[in-house]
Amino acid sequence: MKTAKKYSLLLLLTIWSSTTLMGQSDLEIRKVFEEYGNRKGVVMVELKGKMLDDYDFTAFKSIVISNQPEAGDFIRKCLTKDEAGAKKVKQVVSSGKATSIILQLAPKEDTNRLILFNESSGNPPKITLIYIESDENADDVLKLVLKKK
Amino acid sequence: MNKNKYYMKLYIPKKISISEADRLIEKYYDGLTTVEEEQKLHKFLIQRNLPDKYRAEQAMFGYLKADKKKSKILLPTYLQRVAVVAIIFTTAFTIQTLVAGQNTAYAIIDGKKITNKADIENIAMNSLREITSTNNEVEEGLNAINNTKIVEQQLEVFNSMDDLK
Amino acid sequence: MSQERFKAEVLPIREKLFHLAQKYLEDEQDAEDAVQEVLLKLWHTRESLSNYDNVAAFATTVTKNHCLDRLKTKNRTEPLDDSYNIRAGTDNPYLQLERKNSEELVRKIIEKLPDLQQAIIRMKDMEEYEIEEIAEITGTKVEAVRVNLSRARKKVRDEYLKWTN
Repeated sequence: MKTAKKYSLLLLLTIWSSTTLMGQSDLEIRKVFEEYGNRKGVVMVELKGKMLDDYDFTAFKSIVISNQPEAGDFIRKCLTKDEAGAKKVKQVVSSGKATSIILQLAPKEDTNRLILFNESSGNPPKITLIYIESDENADDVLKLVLKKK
Repeated sequence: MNKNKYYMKLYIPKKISISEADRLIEKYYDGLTTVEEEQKLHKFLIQRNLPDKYRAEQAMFGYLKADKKKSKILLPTYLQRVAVVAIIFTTAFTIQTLVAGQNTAYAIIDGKKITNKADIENIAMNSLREITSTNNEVEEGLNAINNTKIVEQQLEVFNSMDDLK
Repeated sequence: MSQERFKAEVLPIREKLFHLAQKYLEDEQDAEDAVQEVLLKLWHTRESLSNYDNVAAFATTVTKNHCLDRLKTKNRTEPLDDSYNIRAGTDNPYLQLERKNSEELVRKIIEKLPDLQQAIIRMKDMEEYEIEEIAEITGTKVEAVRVNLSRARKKVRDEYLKWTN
């Protein structure tokens, strides 16, 4: 019984350490959520596991930032780092700045990852950043996300 | 704009469509569905915001499928004990992983954490409406949504972009 | 008692049990239903059946008692409580409570089903036996089980819709 206890404890610790938002810890955009997540005028949502049963996503994290125009630049900066090795699926440029970006990141252990960014025009601009993980085929996920009404 | 299309807005291959569900429901009442088909139906029926016409099936599946008793498996006593121990360990792991965030749903507004799921959905809806008010293409469609899920709405912003070529 | 032993020891006396049931219940269909119910009862307690020296004698006793119970409850009609007249609206803020109530209503409806239909719907929908398995255990044809299952499910649906309108 003692050995069983030791092993189960070890297993528990392993599981614990691996359950921080997986796949995002190496990304620059992590800083966006950390930096802006708790600020005024910001709405952040995170969904993982059971809540996403209807979507075949395994993780969904989004942040909507208002009244912080510099956030757009900050996110763009993060994305220039994260887009290394990634496929830029879509980009919309307005007045020299990318106002919409969709990145398909290199898959991590069979998990596909997407980053979606949008900065709406208007004063002040509203900035949306979404991170998605999915076990589904990347093209399928993209098709779903980009499906025209 | 067709309001109903939002029920199938994110058609994900694994999930069945409304027409497929209707077909399976008819089969179910004829006593012809397989266990697998009933599982697909169950998955369909646990969605929120389904039309009222499914209320009987939702209730039936909710009761029948929740109260499962696998009485046909009879294990010898020593295996039963092993099974109990295995269940305890699995439960412990599950609790730990839940605590560590495997199943997560929360929102943070102005630094305040919200955990009520219904509130989270409302919050996401409102914030999304703010964003897309400048984007006419999406706004019209959004007004048709009453209680669409968070993910669909957040992704609405990106649906206004051109087709992937 | 194992599945094979059950089939070998209990099923052969089915006809004898049927004739006995017919003596009590007179109606052929009622007797047929009763025998199926008895066989399902015996199936669910097959683990302890090995304790009996004479399984056939035990099965006979069970059949007799089952028939007597049937006769007792034959004329008792308990209408469902009016408090089940609930609206299961999807935008109801007490959705969780509503769902519990819906399932409670389904449970009550199932309990009011004829014994055989009740047994079959439980075995199929809750315990996930295949129709063929149920047919084997009750010594009936697959089609007969399917018909009973279909009737049971439709009855539950109809009652539920009636009570939640």
